[in-house]
Amino acid sequence: MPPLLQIDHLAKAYGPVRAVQDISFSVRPGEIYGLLGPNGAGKTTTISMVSGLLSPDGGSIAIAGRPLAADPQAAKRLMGVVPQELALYEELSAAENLEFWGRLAGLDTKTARARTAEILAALTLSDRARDPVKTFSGGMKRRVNLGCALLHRPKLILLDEPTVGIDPQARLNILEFVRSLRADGVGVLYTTHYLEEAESLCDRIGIVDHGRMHAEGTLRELQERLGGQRLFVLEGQWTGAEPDTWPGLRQHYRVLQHTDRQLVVAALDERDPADCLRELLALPVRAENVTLKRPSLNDVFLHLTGRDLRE
Amino acid sequence: MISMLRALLAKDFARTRRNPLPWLLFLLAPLCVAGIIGFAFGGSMREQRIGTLRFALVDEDNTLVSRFLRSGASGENLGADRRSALPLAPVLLTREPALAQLHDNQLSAVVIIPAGFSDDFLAGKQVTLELVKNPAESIKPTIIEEGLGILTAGLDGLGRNFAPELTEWRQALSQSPDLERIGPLLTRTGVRLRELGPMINPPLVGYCKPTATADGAATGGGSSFNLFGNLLLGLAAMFMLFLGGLGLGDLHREIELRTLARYQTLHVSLVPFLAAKVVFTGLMLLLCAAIILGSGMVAFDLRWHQPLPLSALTLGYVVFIAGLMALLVAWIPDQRRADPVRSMVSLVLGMAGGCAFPPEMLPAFFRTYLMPLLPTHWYTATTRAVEYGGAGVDLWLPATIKLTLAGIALLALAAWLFRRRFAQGARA
Repeated sequence: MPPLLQIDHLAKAYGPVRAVQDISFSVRPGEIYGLLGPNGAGKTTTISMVSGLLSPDGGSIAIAGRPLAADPQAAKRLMGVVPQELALYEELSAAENLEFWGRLAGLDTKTARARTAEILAALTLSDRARDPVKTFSGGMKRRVNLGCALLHRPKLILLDEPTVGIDPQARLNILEFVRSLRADGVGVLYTTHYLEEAESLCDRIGIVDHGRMHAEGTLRELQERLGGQRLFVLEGQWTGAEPDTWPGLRQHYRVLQHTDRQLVVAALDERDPADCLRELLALPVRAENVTLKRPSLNDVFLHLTGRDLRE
Repeated sequence: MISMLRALLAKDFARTRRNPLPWLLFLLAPLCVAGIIGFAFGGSMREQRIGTLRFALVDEDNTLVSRFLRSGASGENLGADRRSALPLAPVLLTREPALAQLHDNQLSAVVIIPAGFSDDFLAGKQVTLELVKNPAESIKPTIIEEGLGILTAGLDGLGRNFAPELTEWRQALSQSPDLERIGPLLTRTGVRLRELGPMINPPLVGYCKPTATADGAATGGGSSFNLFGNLLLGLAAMFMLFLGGLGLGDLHREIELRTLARYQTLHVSLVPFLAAKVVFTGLMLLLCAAIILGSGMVAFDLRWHQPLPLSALTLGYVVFIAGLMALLVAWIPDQRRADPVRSMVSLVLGMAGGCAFPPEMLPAFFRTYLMPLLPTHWYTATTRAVEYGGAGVDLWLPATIKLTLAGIALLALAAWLFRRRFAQGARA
């Protein structure tokens, strides 16, 4: 079975700015694929090209095994796109918005109405179905925005940062809903800059920054890119220090982050943490505090891009 | 396709129903402006009626001649049917009360027949009637002045042509009436008047007032002119441009709301979306035109005498507006720049097309070279000519066709611009 979405060497530039450079990945049925990266990394541009809003400068996109360019209308019928910005008519009610987009997706009035009721119930919005969207909270609007893309039961759903700017409870509600879509066999391309979401939700993650795909794989595969399971965070006065010149450090550790107050290193092989701790406390600059932890996605991102995703 | 168009139209109508204020403002504007300008220029809601001319007659002479003048002015000697056709409502007062009522704006003018008027007139001396006009009114005092001018010209002619008879009349009336003397005098005066009759009625020289139509053709027919109706046709034409801008300018809002982008994630072709917006705008414009012109009938007591040509012209004009506004949206994608451009275009087309004031007031260059090119002028001039100039199918049908074809051409150009813009991969 071909992947629902196959992207190869995708590229797009806005004048001199290369927004997307040589990005490749695939999304399989029943899989949530996360594109993780900071604002401006090229996530939305990628989704815009997949959904047909932008023409790529290079590379190819295939939907369910068929090139997007060959029959874009057929490809659009398989996709449901949830834009990052709310794309709703605020004067209309939640039910009217959903029904309208269902009708535009080709459903007859009766079917659109029935599915609207289903989706509103799944998004826990049935009691506000007839209220104008302009009276909704940010989280409720986000849920309606999500629901509008699902009326025609697409096989592939593109979610562009669907939880931006909403409260934790609404976020959990949306994440739970996305998991239920995966359970129904739907393929999901999910862009986010929230590490926790990518870690807890996505089956595979692609890390993008400055338009480039730096790494992709499962969370474990990405963690293993750091070469071990231990990270040491050393707090102290690291101003002016040059860790790369210290004897022994480069042979056994990889420096992930070096700031005035913090030095983060990853142990390169399976070694006794106690030995590592002894070595690190013997460095030329004295650490005031040392923390041992498992590598997070942020550490991976830090390692791959040289900067913290939370910055 | 039809199902999608219906869904799109239903959505736009529902949105308009929920937020009707912008539409209502542009609907009310032409009615308010027509009312203000119409009243400012002394218009009346009744067609071709100027209302009753209330004025005071102050007879300080109080002789047979002055009483004759008084009864003439009040129409006392006319039959009931002719008296009701006269808009005169004179009241007989003395000087002070008459002037007081004039100051209280109850009268349009005061006409004073001074003491000694009859004696002097019958003696062939120069006499003067006194007229005091109400400065707060413009039209009615002028009409009374014109009427007084006619009266004095008549008295002057009478005085010059009947000088011997008038002297005798003076003598006959100065003492107790001598019927033996009055009888032959009456007969002689009557004979002279009969001889004079063919010379003054009908007048030897006269004039007619043919109505100039949009194409310069002259016609003498048509319904009675109404200032409010004339104004409302032009103002409706101008504000329909604004209403059209509101309807098709909603495309900018769809771009801003990202709803057009969402539509593009479902469909490759933009045609249904754009077509629905054009149809929606057209239907709203027809509805608004009906409301504006219909409201004029209620607010200003207007009668549209040529509904079929008026409807056909309005339909053609709606197509033109839809095309023009679609072109502006396609040409200027940014709403912040498009809004002022749209307003300016609407104002210029409206003003230069003679929508807000009589086209004759524009400079000759405009009238000769610019106005004939403006569809706003085609619409306003033709509707006015149809309603008030008696213009026929030979005038309104070509104008309707011209408006429709111009609209279709603009729509085609807009579609081409949209297609080019989105074919380049630009996001909506």
